[in-house]
Amino acid sequence: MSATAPPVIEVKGLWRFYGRWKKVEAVRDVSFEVGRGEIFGLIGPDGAGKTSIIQTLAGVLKAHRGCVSVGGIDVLANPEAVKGPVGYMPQGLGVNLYESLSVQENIEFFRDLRKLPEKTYRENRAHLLNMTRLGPFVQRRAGNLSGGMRQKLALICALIHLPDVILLDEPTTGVDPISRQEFWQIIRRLVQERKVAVLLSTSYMDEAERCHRIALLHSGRIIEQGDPEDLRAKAAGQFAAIQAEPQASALQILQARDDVLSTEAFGRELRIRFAGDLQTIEKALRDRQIAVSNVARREPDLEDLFLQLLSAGKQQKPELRIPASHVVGFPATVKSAAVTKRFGDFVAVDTVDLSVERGEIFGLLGPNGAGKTTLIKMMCGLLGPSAGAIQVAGFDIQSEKQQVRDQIGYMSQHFSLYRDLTVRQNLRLYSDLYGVRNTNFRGLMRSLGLEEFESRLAGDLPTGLRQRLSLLCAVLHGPPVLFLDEPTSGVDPVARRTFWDLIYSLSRESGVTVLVSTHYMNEADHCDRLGLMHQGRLIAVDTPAGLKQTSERRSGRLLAIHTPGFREAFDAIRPVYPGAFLYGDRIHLRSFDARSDERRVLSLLSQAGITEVQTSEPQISMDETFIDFIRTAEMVHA
Amino acid sequence: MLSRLFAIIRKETREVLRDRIYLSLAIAVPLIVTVLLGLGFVLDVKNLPVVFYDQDRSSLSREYIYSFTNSEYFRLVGFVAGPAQFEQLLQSGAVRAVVVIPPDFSRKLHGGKQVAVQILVDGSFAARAQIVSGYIAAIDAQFNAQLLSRYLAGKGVVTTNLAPVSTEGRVWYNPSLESKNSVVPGLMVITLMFYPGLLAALVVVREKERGTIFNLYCSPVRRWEVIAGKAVPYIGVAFLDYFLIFSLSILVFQVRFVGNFFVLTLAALLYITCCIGVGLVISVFCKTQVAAMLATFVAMMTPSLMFSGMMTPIASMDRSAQMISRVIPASYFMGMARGVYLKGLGFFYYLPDFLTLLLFAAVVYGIAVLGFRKRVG
Repeated sequence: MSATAPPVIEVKGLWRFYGRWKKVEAVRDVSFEVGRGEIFGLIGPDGAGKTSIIQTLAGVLKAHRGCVSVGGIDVLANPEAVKGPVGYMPQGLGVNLYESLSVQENIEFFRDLRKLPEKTYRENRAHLLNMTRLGPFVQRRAGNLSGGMRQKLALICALIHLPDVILLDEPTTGVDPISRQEFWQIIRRLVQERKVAVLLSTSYMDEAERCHRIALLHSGRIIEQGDPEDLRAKAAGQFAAIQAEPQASALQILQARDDVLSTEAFGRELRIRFAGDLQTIEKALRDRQIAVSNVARREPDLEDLFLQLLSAGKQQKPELRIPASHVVGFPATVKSAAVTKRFGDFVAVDTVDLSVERGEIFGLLGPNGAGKTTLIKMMCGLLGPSAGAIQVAGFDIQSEKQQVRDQIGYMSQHFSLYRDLTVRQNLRLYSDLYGVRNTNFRGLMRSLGLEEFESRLAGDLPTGLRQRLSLLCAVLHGPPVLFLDEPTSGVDPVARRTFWDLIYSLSRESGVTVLVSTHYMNEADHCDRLGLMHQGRLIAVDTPAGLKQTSERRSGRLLAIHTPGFREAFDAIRPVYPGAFLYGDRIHLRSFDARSDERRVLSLLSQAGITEVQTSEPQISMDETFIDFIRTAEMVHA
Repeated sequence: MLSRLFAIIRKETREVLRDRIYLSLAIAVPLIVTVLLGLGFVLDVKNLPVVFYDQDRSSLSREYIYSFTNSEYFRLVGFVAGPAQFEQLLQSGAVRAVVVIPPDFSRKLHGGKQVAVQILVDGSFAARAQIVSGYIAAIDAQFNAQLLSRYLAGKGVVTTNLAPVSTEGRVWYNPSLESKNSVVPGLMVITLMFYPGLLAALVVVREKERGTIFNLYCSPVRRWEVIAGKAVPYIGVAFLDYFLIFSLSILVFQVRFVGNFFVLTLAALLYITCCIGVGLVISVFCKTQVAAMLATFVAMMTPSLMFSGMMTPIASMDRSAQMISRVIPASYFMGMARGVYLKGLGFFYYLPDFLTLLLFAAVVYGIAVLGFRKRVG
């Protein structure tokens, strides 16, 4: 942003410790600035220090070293003074709301806490209700609002005094894509109209692109900060995606080459970072009898940079080799027919028909409350369906429960191992529970990088290792079908990649069928096929690429407009393209005819006196795709 | 001026009224518990089931039996034919005492000899066994006196005064010595402390668990406004409880009430304020609702039950127990409640107790306000 205006938020050399003897360093020497009219994103996994930083700025957490100034107030010296002018929304879906109070009563409570004058209050309330479109629901109890609406009400409450500094702690985690998009539009408008300074945190890498500037956080430290586009350019090497068969051998060949810096399996695609010539690499594959069907260069994203910054060089891929005990004549498939689950009046899962093939990685993608967990629990036989039938590995989930139990591994959303047992004791316990004969876990622990932690308590492991241990416990008995419920929630990108490598090796080498749920849109690409879930219904099933193509056929391709004067440009384009939206400092719109729309946009902009314009046609994001399918599904449903 | 305070009061009130569990904990449960405990806590022993093993079957033995069954303390269950039968009855709890009259009962008495009657008492509940033995001893003494006067009359000595010294006891304040008169006011003390105190103990910590506490941390609201705003609605609820329990004590239990209602009400209000304050202190310092609940049991319920004078008079406690009873509000209100109910003591008599409770309130609310930090961790 403009360098002349003094920053609204200024953080210098901030440290925060936790625990006895200040052993844990939650925030380490963090410095950044946020200016007026700027959206600054703190991007990082759980435990990176995002919440500690935001709470310090809000004056509710003591820092141990450093300077923090918000709007000219020294927050560390005078934390109470900052509470008036700042708007803060804590982490969690609408956690600042009182369930038993109505929307109106919640808003009034916040008005009274801040002693807003009646006139200001009425103006602000009207403005915010209008932006969030919650006007018709003011009499409804907060407890009866949907997830997205809760989040919007939480925002109204936190911002009822229309502060100049807005602190948002993971405002979009687990929120459905439509509400998330609306949420960003609201933040955009506030920034555009009122020039507020916004500091927000997120663990979604793809959301970083919507910020003006970002800081990548890891273990309490800022490892890189700046404009998202500049940061992406910092990713060293070149990037490409390759489709090749057989995929596993192709991966091995690529791994062994020196000019390939890193490899990653994404569903049916192999993504590589390389130095040198792409054609040489392609030729090397063909020489080894690999059928290469598609090779395309691709733009690095922030996750690529994050991984590069954190991982030291090329590493041996972890492998998980457990011979799955496939039963002859019973294919390791999962089939559901019109499965429904009702809790009282609420339909958690609504007539879901699903079929997952042997060895496939099938992803269930959807926000919190979409019914993913309920569906998985029914498939594991933990919940009885209200209607419909499920077959897992050829056995009926209702009448042949015991057979099904032997065929499946299940990893629940929450860490369900015994925290007070060591890694080895946990493995021992699970192998005894499942009657596993071979109890020599050394090899397995080594391949998962757990060997050096074998005597540690499971509760003391970092999140990434915990997830790996949970996975290992779930597959010890060699189940041909594996259910993973949000296994990577809050895990850092490096650990997440490792985890996906393990899933990949289970699927490709042992033929394990994997059904995995996630609310990370950019994780969807790891799956062979995806099921999009929305309000209990499965609204689409296809490969990730197939879904994106369908979306492009329905709503057009994405046209991105880059210009330094994006605010004015947006105002100029909006009347003609009401569907256009701001994405970071770019303008995105959907187009069926990119050429003519490009011409039209350029002429609109030149009329408005904006000439420095570039356009591009980026691939549509999974987020956008999902929104498209939701809109279509809602139209059909209505 | 006080708009923030009223905002918090309004919000808390709405939350209590709309949460079914809280509302029932606030009003229905205290009433039900008072009724149940009031009915069950009566310590009077009456209508004890008793059987007789009469091996004599004479007019004299029958007379002896009548002396039992004529009192309201014993209820005749029947006669048994042998030891096996009464043993079974005692074991099953169908009878609490057995009177075994020997075959030579009348013969020995007529012969002027002493006779031994065996009494078997169920001792599984020691206090009751003691009372039973006491009753039997009294009935025996009466029967002996009758025999003696008849014997003397037979000898030609007419006497009206066999016992030269007689004690004539009169019990004041509770003339009929009915335990309900002291138990029900005691229950009021315990109930008013426990349920409103428990709710108050949850009221801050609940917001901590849900995350709504950040609304208070991150707004310009003052600490005393939070504490006062949360205390007022619960004091109100507890005050309502007080009126309901008082009505119960008069209308249902028909407890003797000779005192001044306004003095009792003032004492109750002060006491309730103290209890809510203790609850808030617990709530401010605990991190989870479970911890707050346990702390309430340990810090409020147990000392109030044991050391308030509900079970044992404070005067008969040892010194350390008396020290504890001196620092818990329940023992002050226990004395005041029973005193006002049964003795009709007035305001000025209890002035020191009023002042003590006032001081107690000032201290706990001070701790609660200072302990409420607008920070995490």
